[in-house]
Amino acid sequence: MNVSGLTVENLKKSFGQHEVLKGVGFSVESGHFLSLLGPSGCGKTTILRIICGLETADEGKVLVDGTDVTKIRPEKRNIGLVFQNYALFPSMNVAKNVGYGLKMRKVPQPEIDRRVTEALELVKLGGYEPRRVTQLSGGEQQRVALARALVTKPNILLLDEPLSALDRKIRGEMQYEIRNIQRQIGITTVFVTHDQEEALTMSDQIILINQGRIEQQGDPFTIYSQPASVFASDFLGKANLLTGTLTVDGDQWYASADGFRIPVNHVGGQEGTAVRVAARGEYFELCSPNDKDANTFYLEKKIFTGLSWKLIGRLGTQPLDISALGISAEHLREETSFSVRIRPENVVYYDK
Amino acid sequence: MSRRFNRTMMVCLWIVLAFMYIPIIAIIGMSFNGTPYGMFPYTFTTTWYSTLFSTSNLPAACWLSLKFSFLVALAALLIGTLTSFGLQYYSPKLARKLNFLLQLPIIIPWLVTSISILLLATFVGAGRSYVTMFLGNLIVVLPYVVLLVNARFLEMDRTPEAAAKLLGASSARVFWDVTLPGILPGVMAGGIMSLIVCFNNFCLQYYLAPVGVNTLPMTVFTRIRSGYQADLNALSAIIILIAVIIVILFSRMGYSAGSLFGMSSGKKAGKGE
Repeated sequence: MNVSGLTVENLKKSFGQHEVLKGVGFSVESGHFLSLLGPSGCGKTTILRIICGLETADEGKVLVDGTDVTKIRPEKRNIGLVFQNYALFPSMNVAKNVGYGLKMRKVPQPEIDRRVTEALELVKLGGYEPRRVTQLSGGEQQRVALARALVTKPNILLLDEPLSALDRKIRGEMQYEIRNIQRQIGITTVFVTHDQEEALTMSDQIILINQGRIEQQGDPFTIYSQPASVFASDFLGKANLLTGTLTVDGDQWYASADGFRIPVNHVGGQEGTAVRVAARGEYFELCSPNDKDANTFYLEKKIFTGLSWKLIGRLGTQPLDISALGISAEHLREETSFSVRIRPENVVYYDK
Repeated sequence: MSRRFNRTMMVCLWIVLAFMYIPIIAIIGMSFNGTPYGMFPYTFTTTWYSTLFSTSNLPAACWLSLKFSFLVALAALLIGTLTSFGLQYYSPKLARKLNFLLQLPIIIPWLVTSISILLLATFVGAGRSYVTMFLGNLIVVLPYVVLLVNARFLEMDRTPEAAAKLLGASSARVFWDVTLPGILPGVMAGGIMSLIVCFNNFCLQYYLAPVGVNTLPMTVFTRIRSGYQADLNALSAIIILIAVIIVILFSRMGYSAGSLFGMSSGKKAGKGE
């Protein structure tokens, strides 16, 4: 399959008074899986629609393999799109749905049949050809939509929140499945989602979008462990946000406030600068009170969530949630205090 | 308390159903009654049916009305569907205004519409003629088609059309392959509605039909005033039978009459939804 890289440059788009995209640019290496992640209404779907040509940008360019396709009609761009609600043709059976693009390209019928069968086998729906699409389950409809998008051998595959309508279990299977198929045929893919877990699980690269701008981009691990802004730390996995001031003790910098002192790696700011600190609940660990980075955590309530304990309490005067694996927190009692610590590499801070 | 309330509601339901269906059952019964004018004693006979098919002037009028209504409905269907499709491409604001203009002809009493059309036809020199009657009836039924198809457009998922376009279909193909199957229930509802309204429309036809031509509503009206005969009951019974068959056919095809008109009939229609 022909594999292409994708670049978008400085996309701007307004609907009436509302500025949806305020200059978005990024590129995807060929064969890579990119997620556009953001809250609903952040403009991520608009980006996708501009890439495939269903929407025209006010400004900016879309390049496929270095060729400007901004002015090319959508059907000539050779880009496959899977819609959020699948957008299958309810009046046609599975085979007709999948083969539609080939029929429009005037491919001879025997070849259409062969390629439809191939595509359906790829998405594990072999033998589904004569079924009515209205009788399929959500997951199966999703697979048909994927087969329909892939059967024309597009250069780039776009997926618009394809899993948001599925229940949790099937969603997990489909995440794995989509990623598998994508690797197998090596197609450059842009995936739009508002689900951070989904983005983290599936992507080579994540672009976090907020209010029409790129908030942060990077690989899943970096984005999760080093959120670049308050928004990023809050949107991805709900980090704890604490307020404090920068202090220094020898070589070690700290973010301090009434009742705690958290070590940080210094990336800017002077002693006494007011900062917001993002620290993920799962990066805290229990320690002895004598540890040099120990802070006192007052546990108000603990909730068992199956995978872990959620410990709700206070660090000094500020609320803090810690999540601890099953065994380690079982013995902790509510309304008691104990010592916790966090490593500086797991803490980020921002100017207030 | 709530149980008593429920029971009262059930009684109401049965009263309403009885109110709707007793006249229909009565007329079928009367079509087999030998005593004319729907009186007693009830003696079973099929005379009225044989009268209907031998000496009566009703079948001819009925046939004319059927042909005429089909023609009007077909024209309304074509023009109305295209009008509705065209409306989708205007701004929502303009579409709303046009929607208002479309509803007006439904609200204006047919009495007024017929007189104004007759005046206009006389003014342009057409007078009472088949063409005038055709156009008059068409004007009256067109809004039904447009409104019913519009409703279907509003509730229908439009993304498959974008998908088809993206897969390389031309606008005409998108319409034919995706849009039309989607709005078909609305189109069919519009067609049936047009047929019924046109078939029934005494007022327009009385004013606009060419002199000497009598459609079914006109014939029936004349009959009621003078020379009522029970072959009319026989014809009514036959029309009811046909209506029942149509409703059954539709539900076999997966539509309920209610779902066609965008009303819920309790059960969701399985097809095209």
